[in-house]
Amino acid sequence: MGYEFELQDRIFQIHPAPRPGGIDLVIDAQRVRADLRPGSEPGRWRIDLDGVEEDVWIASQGDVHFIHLRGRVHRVRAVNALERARRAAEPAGGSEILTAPMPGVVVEILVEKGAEVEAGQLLMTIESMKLQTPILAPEAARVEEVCLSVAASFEQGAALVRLAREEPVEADGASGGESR
Amino acid sequence: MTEIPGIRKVLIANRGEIAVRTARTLRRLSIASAAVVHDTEAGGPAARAVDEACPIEGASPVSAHLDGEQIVETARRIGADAVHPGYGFLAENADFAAAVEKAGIRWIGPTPEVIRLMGDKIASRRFVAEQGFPLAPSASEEDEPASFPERARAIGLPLLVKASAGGGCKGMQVVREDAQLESAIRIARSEAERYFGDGRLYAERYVESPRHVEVQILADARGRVLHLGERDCSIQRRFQKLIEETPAPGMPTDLRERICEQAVEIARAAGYRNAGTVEFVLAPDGGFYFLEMNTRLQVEHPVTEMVTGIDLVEQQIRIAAGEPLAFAQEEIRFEGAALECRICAEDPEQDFAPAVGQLLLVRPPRGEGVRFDGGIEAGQRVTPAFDPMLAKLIVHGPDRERAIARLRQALRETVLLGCTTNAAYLERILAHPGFAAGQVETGFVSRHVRDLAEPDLDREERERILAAAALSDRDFRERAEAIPRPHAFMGAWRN
Repeated sequence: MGYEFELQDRIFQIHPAPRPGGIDLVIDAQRVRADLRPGSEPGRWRIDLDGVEEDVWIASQGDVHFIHLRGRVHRVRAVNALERARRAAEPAGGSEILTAPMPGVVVEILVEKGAEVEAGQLLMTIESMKLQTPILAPEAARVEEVCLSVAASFEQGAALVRLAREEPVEADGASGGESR
Repeated sequence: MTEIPGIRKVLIANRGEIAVRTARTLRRLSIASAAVVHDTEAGGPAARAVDEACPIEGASPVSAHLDGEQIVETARRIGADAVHPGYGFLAENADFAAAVEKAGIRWIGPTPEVIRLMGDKIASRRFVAEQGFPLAPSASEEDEPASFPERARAIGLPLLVKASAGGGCKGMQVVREDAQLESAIRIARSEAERYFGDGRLYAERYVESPRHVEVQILADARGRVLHLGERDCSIQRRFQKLIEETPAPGMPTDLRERICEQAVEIARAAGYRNAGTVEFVLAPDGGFYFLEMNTRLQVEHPVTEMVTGIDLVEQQIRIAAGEPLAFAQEEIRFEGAALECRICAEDPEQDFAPAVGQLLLVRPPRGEGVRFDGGIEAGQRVTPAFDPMLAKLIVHGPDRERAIARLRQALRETVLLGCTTNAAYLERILAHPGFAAGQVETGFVSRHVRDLAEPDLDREERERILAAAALSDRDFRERAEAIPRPHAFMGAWRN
């Protein structure tokens, strides 16, 4: 079982493969001898691949690693097994996450956790490049989580609001008239 | 003890890299420096660059920097002798300039009347035309709104419909076919009203593949006007400049002299004072037309400073203090070539969408002839609240070819981690044979969009990047170390 890393919108499998005296990496089915040694300054390293050493700058934030190699920066995201397992375990159609269409800032939030909202109701307003965009509920739902706070900034695709679809009305009205 | 009598303290009404840059000159001249700082930037590079960081309040940082009343009150309270507005925000706001002067504080820039005249596109073009200078054929809506579409049509295609009060890329529509004119007017007007609160339009002939050439002007209170040479700012994307340089590549000497002379005459006719820039559109046939005048310091002023050795902010302060220009036109020397590129928080792979993130590592390049003007540091959050420009990288060389090589090297050595930037894209522009040959024009990046796309990584490079990431990933390392193995391998991992 290996690890997945995302680079330039592609997923690559990387397995650690021990050998006498060290560890190899199997990257996308290619076995390489790799070693990372500290460089001359904080953030600066030497990446040795099959005996050839090069300068590299690295900074990480959680699962994202920024790699500056040969004058260009690359963003590599570790897709860890826990995340994959969690996503696979989520019931299909249970929750819906509204995500940001582009990077921006949260300007205002009009609902809180637990609120019942109608289709088309304004949940929050975000701003990007000085344009404000309303985030509306796509259908009647209950707010499970407001993922960010006012003035928080986010990237494209970031989770904004998690909604739970309303339960369907039971034939005998036993649900108490929750849905609209 | 200040080097400029009468100017003991200056308040910088700006932020980011220009505030840091202005503070540097103030310090060199032993002038006390202050800056207005919004609490989201408390303790940041600009706040630390000045002697006094003065808090200003506002619902958003931008609104705080646009609160003229609060800024004037701050200047008065701290006893500032002068206000330097930088660029953007209120730098070309005549009312703000007037309010500063009314408070008995010197405005580092031209008079409010000149800002009003030359800051308004319609008014400045009318003025320049009246003075007999050439303009691109145009039509202003103000003259007679009803006949505007007709008169616009008469200019000939292709044409540009623009907001009169506008700047940057907002409120501009290119019309290539007659059928597009009506909707272009509608869209431009709606953008103009939204961004500038003023829906007035004008139309002008759109020169295909034009070059954008501008001239730096300095004028003192005695009416002496000099030029400090031209800058070519043709490398733009959606009307935002990316790369600027001086001298303009491949420009015949006599054409350069005529453009610079004309800029001086326009500034003189307008009664200009302090630093300013006159912008022209240069057509492929060598004809040039007045575009607009910027009544402030420009973002790309450093390239002029690198070739002339003159500190423009220092000149601005001296002129504001009432000093006459200390040199004559003939005494100004232009040495070598300089280029600047604007490093922005944008993702070229996502159609240049603004990028956000936290800067994890900032390591500017160093070396002879390399200047990095940034107002950024590790730990800082990059948000869409401000302009996406993070830093300017400026390089000087004995000639254009060597300056380009030096700039490419400096870009590769610039380490900015945590937020996506356009640095690699800028390097691809500089590496392009068309750029090297000086074939610059405002359509350059669109024309070469395929050449400028991010190249694929070859397998070896990709492996190296992935290996570096995997070996940096704590979860991966823990997992790898947990693998049972027959031989001990202590020492293979070093953190």
